[in-house]
Amino acid sequence: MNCSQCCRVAQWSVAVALAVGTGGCKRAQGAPSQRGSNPGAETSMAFDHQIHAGQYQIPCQYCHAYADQARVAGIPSLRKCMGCHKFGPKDKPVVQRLAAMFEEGKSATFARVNDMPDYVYFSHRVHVLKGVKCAECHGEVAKMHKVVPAHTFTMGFCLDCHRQRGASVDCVTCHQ
Amino acid sequence: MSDNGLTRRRFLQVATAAGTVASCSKRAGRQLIPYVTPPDDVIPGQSRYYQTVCRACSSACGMMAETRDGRLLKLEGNPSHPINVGALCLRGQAAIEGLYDPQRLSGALANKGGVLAQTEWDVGVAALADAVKGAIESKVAIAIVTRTESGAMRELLSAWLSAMGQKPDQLVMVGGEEFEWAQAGRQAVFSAPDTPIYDVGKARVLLSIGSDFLDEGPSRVELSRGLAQMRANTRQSAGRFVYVGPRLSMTAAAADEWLAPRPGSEIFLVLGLAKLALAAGARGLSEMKPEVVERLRASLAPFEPGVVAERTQVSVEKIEALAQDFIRLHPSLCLGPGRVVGGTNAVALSAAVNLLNAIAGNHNETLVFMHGADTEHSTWTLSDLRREIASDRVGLLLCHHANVLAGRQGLDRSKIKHVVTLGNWSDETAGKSDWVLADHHFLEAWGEVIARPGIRGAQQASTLPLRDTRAAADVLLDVARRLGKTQGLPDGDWATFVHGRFSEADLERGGVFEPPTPRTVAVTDEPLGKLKLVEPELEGLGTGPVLALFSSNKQPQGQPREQLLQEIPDPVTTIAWSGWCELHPEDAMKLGATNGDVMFIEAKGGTAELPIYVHAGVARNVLAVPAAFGCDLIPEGTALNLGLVSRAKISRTGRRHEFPHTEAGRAGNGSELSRRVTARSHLLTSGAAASMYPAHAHQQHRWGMTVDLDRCTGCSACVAACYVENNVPIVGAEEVGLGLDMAWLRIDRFLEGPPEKPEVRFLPVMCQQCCNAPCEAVCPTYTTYHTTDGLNAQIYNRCVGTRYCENNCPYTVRRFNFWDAEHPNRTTVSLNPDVTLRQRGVVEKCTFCVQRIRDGKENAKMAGRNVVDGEIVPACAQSCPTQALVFGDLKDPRSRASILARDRRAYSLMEELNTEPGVRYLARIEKGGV
Repeated sequence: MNCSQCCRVAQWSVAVALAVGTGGCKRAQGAPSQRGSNPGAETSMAFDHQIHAGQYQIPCQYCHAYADQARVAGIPSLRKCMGCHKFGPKDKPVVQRLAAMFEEGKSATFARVNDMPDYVYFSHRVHVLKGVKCAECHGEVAKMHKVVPAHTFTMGFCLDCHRQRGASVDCVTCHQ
Repeated sequence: MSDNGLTRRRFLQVATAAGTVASCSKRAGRQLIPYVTPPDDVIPGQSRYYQTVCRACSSACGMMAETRDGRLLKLEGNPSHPINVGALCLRGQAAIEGLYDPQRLSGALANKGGVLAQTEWDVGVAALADAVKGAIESKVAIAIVTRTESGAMRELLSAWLSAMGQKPDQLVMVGGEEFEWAQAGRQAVFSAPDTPIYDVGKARVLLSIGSDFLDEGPSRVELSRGLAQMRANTRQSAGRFVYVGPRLSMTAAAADEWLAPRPGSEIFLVLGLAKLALAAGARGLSEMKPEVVERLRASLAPFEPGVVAERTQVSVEKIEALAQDFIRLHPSLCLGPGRVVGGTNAVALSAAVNLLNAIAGNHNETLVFMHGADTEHSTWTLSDLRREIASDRVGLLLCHHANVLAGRQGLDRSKIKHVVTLGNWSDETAGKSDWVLADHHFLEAWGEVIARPGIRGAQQASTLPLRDTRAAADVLLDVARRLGKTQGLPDGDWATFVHGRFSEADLERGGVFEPPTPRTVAVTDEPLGKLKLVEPELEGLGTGPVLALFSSNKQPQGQPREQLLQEIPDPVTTIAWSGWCELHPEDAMKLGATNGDVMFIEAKGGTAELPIYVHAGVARNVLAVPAAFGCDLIPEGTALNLGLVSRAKISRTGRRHEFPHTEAGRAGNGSELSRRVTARSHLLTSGAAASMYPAHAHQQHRWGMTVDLDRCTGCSACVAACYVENNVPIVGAEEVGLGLDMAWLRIDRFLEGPPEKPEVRFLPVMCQQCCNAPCEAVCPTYTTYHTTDGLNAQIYNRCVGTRYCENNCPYTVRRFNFWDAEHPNRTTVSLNPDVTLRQRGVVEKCTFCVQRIRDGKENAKMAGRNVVDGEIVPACAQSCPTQALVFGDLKDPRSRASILARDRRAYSLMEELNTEPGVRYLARIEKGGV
């Protein structure tokens, strides 16, 4: 199947789309790509973590609901957004756009900010259940209007923490 | 179904679309696309399993499709299905390739001057409706040729024919492994022509008359399991498996003895055994009427052991000993006849085999006839259809997944006005059709498949249609509605209709499974009366070798096929990606032919050119050819699936073809590596030798595996499962020929024994996960090291490709990526996201499916318990039909693998190297011949 065929498949069914948390396949070699920029990826809707997580103190896992169940934390569906936003604030253009997109059944796209190289196995579930706080890796997201990577996910960054906590430092734990 | 109205089906549609988008995006620009409304029960990145039915052959095994984020990733057997109990053969494993095959047909196509051109669905269906209308008006028959269908689809096809004013029996089923002539033979002997169900596991003596039941269907997985069970049951007692046929097939290799009577004379052997059984007053006689027994006695009178011995060239002692065992060691079972012994006398041979079972009293013991067999709906046979076509009575032929216009045995296209294909592939039949309406792949389709009475499988769509296809049933219903002839046909669409036949619990289980109700089948009054008990007519050219066609997974270039089946070598010859012919060394020497010489073969039907493979696994004066490569040698109009139809004339062309095969360079001492013991002897193993290295401290687990060579048949299901699970690249003919195949798990084959008594030994070899691993010591980058769980890990992103490890591995299980992997038949969407794709310049190897181990450990950890034995199963062990591979924790003395590893038959490969492997082999038990 070539790209044009994929796109054709995509056309007839973009009503709902999927959080592409584990998208793609892993490849050996290549440098970590998360250095704060993600050229080519577009964000179609502004989202302010400072308002949601900071001002209103919504817990991380209220929206990123799979963090303690799966490898990927997941990003909230538009329905989840509308769970609150059907009550307002209806005067803000971005919320109006959200409501319109939900009505139309169109999804938004967000640029990935925190990314792992393809040859790294990482599971949110294990980390969350072992008591690692979200902010330890993702930084003070509650203070960020636009999310930027708080840390560069190099192997050293991971290993420091693994050593401190007595977690496995076996290569095969993360590289398979 | 969720309360917001999003169906699972809809989710699959959407999720696959999203997945496809994701796979298209460049790495640099990865995006997150949230659901608008999420399905209730789906966790992203977590696999979900759907039960469905395998349609790769007619066995209809239960299949479990693993999907993640809507993409279908892997196929496994359904553990609750009574036929395959979780295992899946290599054809089933490879079916995923067909789903993603870029060459699979899409949309409606019209034949314009011999070229299939894409057109609108509406136009295609309208054309079919017109053709149907035309046929009805001009009062010619509409016939349907279909792959083996049962249940809802079969009912629909008959009902549709009736609705169109046709006779409901104008339906031909092909592709079933049950041959027409085998059925005819049964019909001659028994009051009911049902296909019996074999319980091989119960048999104490098994006799196969050319039936390659491990190489091909029907129900090869079930019969493989039965054979393993039988071998286990008779391990300490008398009992054996004897294979009779001209070629040492994989099935023959699994037998305790291979008997090769003069080709064509198998019938006399069977009748000779029947006569001896009759004379000895075997158990089955009490079930027969006395006058029938008398008639049989008269019919069998000429087949004295002496006469049989002379005709078959099998000694009298052997025949008598075999007959004695067959009667004495009750219950026994005679399977067959298979294609490779089927000649013009095939009906009589089939009758003789069935009679032998009846006389020996095996009914309701090792073979069971069942109530509820679908006998009331008779259908045409292919011969009936051929006759009708010849007399110009067929105006429209619908070919539903049936390539019946192919080759010389195909139907005569010129005599049929319109042909419409409802299928997946651009094969000969599609090429000769007026219209082609692409059907769903079976993994995208709904269906009800009755494997046999009592086993009603639910074929559940496991993914959304990846291409622009429509269910054949929907097309037929659409045509009926357009013509206003919907009497007796279901309303609505096919998926909803079929879905309605199963409850949600049925779908979760994979179908409705009820225990069989056996019925007694009586022998007819004149069982052998009308049959000619003679040798097959082997007309042809002179007195050359007898041409014997056998089934193989290999197919000629250019035909639709799964690449995996071509890449995985033929178990007996180790040839991949090529056709071949086989000849005994003595016959080859007369011709001056050596391996790889291209031979010119001339037979009654035509000619062919094939490279020769010389080995003692073929009887003298036999030329064995894989059936797919021998089609041109069969005379036109010969009944399908006959393997013994003519003599052949062979000569050297002078050209050579170096066929890709995997035996070169991997030769070793077979008797040392693939060991055998007698029933009561013990293996002398050296035990742990002194080591200069400190022992590894395995903290919690030491993962290990046992490979039971007494159970392994060489079927390669494990190899296929490994390819799919671990994204192992398929490299093609040229690379395989250079010895650069990438298989992490291979089946080594050794030809042992003297030429007059050759034996084939199989040895599955994967990474042995050594404690003193020779590869680890030489790696300059610490890519490979021993984990605390006893695995020999390979960290691909550390590998710089020195290949020292590959050089130093005595088991040659490491593979180097000379190229970036291509998966031409599988888009990246279908690859396992848990397994790193290896780049060019990286060494890769088996890791006992470390991703599965990690999942199992993680699940146990999250549940706050230890890993339970049997919870973690690598792909190879999962698919093994005979459970020859057992994975487990060797540190836990009660685990299955641990117990087996201490068995008296256990040994390690190349013990003298003191590598202390985590894989232990269990020697095969030798039972000896007659």
